[in-house]
Parts: sequence; structure tokens; C-alpha cells
Amino acid sequence: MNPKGIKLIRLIYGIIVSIMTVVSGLLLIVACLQIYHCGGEQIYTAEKVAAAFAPIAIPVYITLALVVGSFLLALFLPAEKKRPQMQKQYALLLRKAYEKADLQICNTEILNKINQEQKKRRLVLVISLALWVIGGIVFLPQACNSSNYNKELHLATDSIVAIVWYLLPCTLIPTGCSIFSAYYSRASIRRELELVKLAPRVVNKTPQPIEKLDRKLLYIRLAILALALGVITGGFAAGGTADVLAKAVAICTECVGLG
Amino acid sequence: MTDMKDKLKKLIPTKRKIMQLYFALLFNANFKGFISGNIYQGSTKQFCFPGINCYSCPGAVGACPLGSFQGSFSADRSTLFYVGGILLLYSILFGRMVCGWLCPFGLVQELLHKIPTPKLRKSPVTRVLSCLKYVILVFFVLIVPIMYALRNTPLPAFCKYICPAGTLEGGIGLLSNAVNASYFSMLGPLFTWKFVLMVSILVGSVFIFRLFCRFICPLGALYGLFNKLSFFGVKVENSKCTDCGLCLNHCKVDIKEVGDQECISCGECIGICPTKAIHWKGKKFSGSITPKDDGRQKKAKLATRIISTVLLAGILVGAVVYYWQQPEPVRTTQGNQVGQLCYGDQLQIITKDGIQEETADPTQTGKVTIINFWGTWCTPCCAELPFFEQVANEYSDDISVFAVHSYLLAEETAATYIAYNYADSSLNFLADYAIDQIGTSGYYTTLGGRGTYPYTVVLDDSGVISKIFVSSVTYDMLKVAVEEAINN
Repeated sequence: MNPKGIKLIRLIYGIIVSIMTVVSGLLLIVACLQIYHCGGEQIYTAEKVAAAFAPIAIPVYITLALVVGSFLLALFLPAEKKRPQMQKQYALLLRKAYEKADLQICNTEILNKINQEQKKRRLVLVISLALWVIGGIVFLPQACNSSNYNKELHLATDSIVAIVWYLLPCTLIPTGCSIFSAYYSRASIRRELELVKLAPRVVNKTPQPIEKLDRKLLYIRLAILALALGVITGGFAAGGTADVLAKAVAICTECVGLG
Repeated sequence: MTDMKDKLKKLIPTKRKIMQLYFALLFNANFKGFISGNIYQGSTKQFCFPGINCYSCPGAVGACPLGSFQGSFSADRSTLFYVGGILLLYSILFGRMVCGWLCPFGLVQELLHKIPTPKLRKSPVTRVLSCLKYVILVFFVLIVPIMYALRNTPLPAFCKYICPAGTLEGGIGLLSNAVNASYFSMLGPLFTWKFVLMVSILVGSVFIFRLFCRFICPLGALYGLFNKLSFFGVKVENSKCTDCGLCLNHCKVDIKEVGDQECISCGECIGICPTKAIHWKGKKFSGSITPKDDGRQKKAKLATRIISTVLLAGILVGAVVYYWQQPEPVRTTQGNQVGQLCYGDQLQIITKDGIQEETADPTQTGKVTIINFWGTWCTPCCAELPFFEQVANEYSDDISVFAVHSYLLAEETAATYIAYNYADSSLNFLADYAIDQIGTSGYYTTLGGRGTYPYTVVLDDSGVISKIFVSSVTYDMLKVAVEEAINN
């Protein structure tokens, strides 16, 4: 079979597998929610679960068969070895361009534009960082205020959910701003790259300094390693393993999400 | 024929995949647990393994570092030192190499990502979303457990509300065994939420490479902080790097440079780099001790490979055989059903000195008896103790309530907890040492306990079991159960 035909078959197969995977996932979720919403004195029983999951067995089995089939497909109709789609790493290209450019003899107009671009980018970055800081300042006092956590342990979930609602805007707003900042930076770096390329080239490139073994880094590593070993030994000697073992050998039903 | 061989060769898993599978099997070497539906209760569970692997998984033979870390805040200080030290040790030794090579849940996600569907590539959005795992680390792993630890009660918020590995390995792993059919009775809103979350993450992993590791996993976030400092991992030699960007382009996670906090040190970029600027840390050292001669070098490599393969296979086989031979907890059929008579020698606890001591026998005291099994490490157990105390006070003439602590190796934590919260309580606090000893029929197992906590049994005044709760109870539930037992 010609490569185009193989490519088309693989594409169609991939789309079918994707759809079936999503459908199977949704069916599993819907079946679970259905049992939950039916309620009753005992929400889940083996019989209820079997009854709710039996109708979705066929699509799930089809998905599994498709997954197994995909490996056979890989064996008999292997994908053409495609060259990796090269996405331009503008930050790296910019770094390279700066190495080649001689900005000292560059046109002042270009220099001003480069500076402006850098300033704008920095501003957007500072704003998004500031939003993270503000989010932290607003959220942390709430999260660390013990009165926000219900004293009744069985109501702990309610108080944690309330704090999570508080956490959401404090995280989502900075996240949104950071996403904007990331896209803006990419576009800005691209513009800056075009400007730097206009600058005259350096005649004599200075050789890169030879890497030396960073002894400081090694000392820091060894210090942390010694600290870790010391702390473990101390904890072990004082019987710190007992609580770990106590928790690990029994099943805290709520802790693994059973309820 | 050669063509077919080439195709088959492509299907052979990479070294990293083999190592991931190896460690997934090694960390879950208690194969007997998958058949019997019991979790392993031996001493190796006091050691934390590096990756996310729920200790409630029937196969798990070690503890989860993240679960232990959250629990350590409310335990003895030595536990915090021990678990914190282990986390620090793994961080400084491996960094996020643990994610790429040792984590069983990482393997699950990578295998799901192998399903040939259109994939969502990394972008500035995924790069920003990768910061969310730090928010989860701070809030769910540090703040909430610490806030509750200050009240001397544990709340492993990440395990309880988020961890999909716990739901998959612990929850589904236990529920899928017919022996544990009784566990269905405890499932409720929490399970529904965690099941939905787990399915979403697993389906998402088909389309997004390591969705959980990149955006949610707090353990990866913690290890990532030490990525540049760690002894093992990948490293770029700046003098050789030409900034071609091939490594960044090839990488599926949101790195800005090789070896940064997002890099899982999978090592795939090593083969991609055209100038061989990327290598494993410590390569210089291993290079200096390898013989220069090509022939000898090949032989040395082959010998090293054979020795390490035999050694690793031996360890795995040894572990599987060892855990297979371990005794299983005794399961009795007596006294574990409503309506069964249960008194006398069945109501004996074993004290620290091994003496069998009879607790209140309803037939002798003429009172309804409530026996609650609890542990300081168990949030729902601690949450429901006040209800038992309230019921004990209200019906003091008609009932006696016993709170039996689960595991006495952690007796100091339990003693501190009881002294702090229940100094003048009407509850009778007991400790059954038989629970410590696998293979003995203690109080807990005699009354039908199957390793789950909390667990409560209500006996009427004639010693007949009138109610069993295999999960948390509320005050109202207890009140109804007590009144039913009294009226009967």
C-alpha cells in the first residue's frame, strides 16, 4: 500500500480510537453519577454497580479492541518515519542573534525599538507575577486561618471546599494573565528577533569560556545529602517508622477515596 | 522477513520502559494480595518508595512518600523527620528522574499515551498550567494537613480529595476483588468525585502526555525543585551546545531548558542532540574508569549489562517469592455478620504482654456494647469519636462503648492523642496487640475486621451482633443503631 493510503488509514483509525476513548470515559463517568444520583440508603452496592456498568460494557470492549488493534496496525501498517515538526524556539534564536549582532555600532532607532520591546515584555511579566503575589497574599491568610476550618472533623470537607472556592479566583486570574503573558512574550521575542537581525554582524566572535567543574554545587549537594541522611537516621532511631507502618498496613477508607 | 524483523524491533520497549515496568512490579511485588484482596501488612511497609504508589494497593509492599508525609504532620515529630528526610534524600539523589524512571503511575500514563490518537502538544498554555502543581503542593499537601495537625488530627487532603493513583490502585484495586464486596457499602460522594477525577485524568492522559505529572502531581513539583542540584539526571554541556533547539522541540514536557524543574530526565534528548552536548550527570566519572580500547570497552559494557540484568531479575524474583510466602491476615467467619452470637472468648483482646484479657461481655454486663476500631492516622476515625462519646454519655446506663486503637507500634502517638482530646472521656480506650501480629486471630479479625478503618460493631445485651458499620458513622446513625439494639 502506498504511504498516502497508510497515512489516511492511520488517521481515520486514530480519530475513531479518540472518539471511542472519550465516549467510554464519559460513559463510565455518567454510569457512576447515575448510581450516585439514584441514592438510596446504600448508594453503591455490587448489584447496582453491575447493573449500571453492564450497558456500557460493549463500547468499553470495542475501545479496548481498538487499542489492541492499534498495536497490530503499528505492526502491519507502520507509520512513515516523519521528520519532527520543528517549532521555532524563538528565545534560543534570539540568544543566538544577540551573539552575532554588534549592538554598539547599531542604529539608535533599532536600539530604541529593541528597548521598547523588552520594556513591554518585562511589564507584562511583572504584572502577571504581581497577580500571583497578590493572589498569594489574598489567599494565604484565609488558608492559614484556623477558624476557617470546621472544628467538627466530619465537616472538614465543607470547610475545605469553601477555601477551594476562595482559591480558584486567586489562581485562575494569575493563570489567565500568565497565559496571556506567555503568548505576548513569544510574539514580542519574535519582533525583537527581527530587529536584532537588522543590526550589523560582529566581526570577531569571542570564544565561549570552557566549563569548569562547579565545586560550590558539589558542596551544596553533599551538604543536602548529609542533612537528609542525618534527618532520616534521627527519625529512624526515634521510632519514626512506627507511624508510617501503622498507616501503611491498614486501609483508611476515606483516605483512599472510598468514603 | 527482514522487514518484519525491523517492524518487530520497533515494538520492543525502550530501556526506560523496561525499568519503569520493573519498578512498578517491584513496588507491587505482593502478587498474592491481588488474588486474596488483602493488603500487605509486613515490615517493609515502613519504608517509603520514591514514586506515587498507593499503600492501600493490594500489591504494594512499601509506603507512599506523599501519603506518609501528609500523615507525619499529625504524628510524632520523629515521623516528620524520617519521612521528610526520605523525601529530601530522593530529591537530592534523583530529582525528577523518579518521575521518568521509577514512578508506576507515570508508566500508566505513558502507556495510555501510546494509544494512537491525535495528541495535544505542549504550548505556552501547558507551560503555565504546569505551575498549578505547586499550588496543589502548597495547599493540599502542606497547609490543610498542617492546619488539622495543629488540632492533633490527621487529614491527608491530597490523598483524600485528589490522588488518582490512590483511587486506581487502592480503591479500584480493592473493589475489583469479589472478596471485598462489603466495601461497596461505604462508597458515597467522595468516591463519586474521585472516580470522576480519575477517569478524567486517565482519558486526558491518552491525549496529553503525562497530564497528571505535568499539571497536578505535588511529588513531582517537590522533586523538580531539586532537579538542577540532584546527583543523577541529564545535563547540558554549555560549551558544546549550539542552541539549535532540537532537544526542546523533541521534549514532550514543558521544559525551558534541559534539566530544569519540569524535566523528568527521560534521557530521550541525549540521542537527539547533534553535538552530543547532553549527557547523564556523572558520565565524566564513568567515562574515566572505562577502558579506552574499543574491543575491551564493548566487552566491559556487555558484562555490565549481563550482571545488572541478572541482579535486577534476581531481586524481583526474590521479592515476589518472599512476599508470596508471607502469612496472610486471618479471616474468621465467626461474628462478622449481623445476627450472629458473639461473646466470651471472642471478645478478648491481647495485651502488650501477650495476655488474653476479656472485655465487657454483653451477656455478663447486660448492656449493649459498641466496639469501635480506630487509629490516630485515620481521619474519619478521629472525626467520629466525638459521636461515640456523645452516645456513651447519653445512654450511660444502657451501653458501654469501647474504642480499640488499631496499631500499637504507634502507641506514643495514640497516647498523646487520647490524653489531648479525651482525658476525661466516658469511652473505654483499649489496644489490641493482636492486630500487630499477622496470622493471629485478634479482636478485630474475630469481629470481621478486614483491614479497613473505621470499623464498628454493635452487640445487643445478649451478645448478638445487631449492626456493623464498615465506614464512618454519624451521631444519628449511632443513635438509631443503639436504640434498635436496646429495644430488641
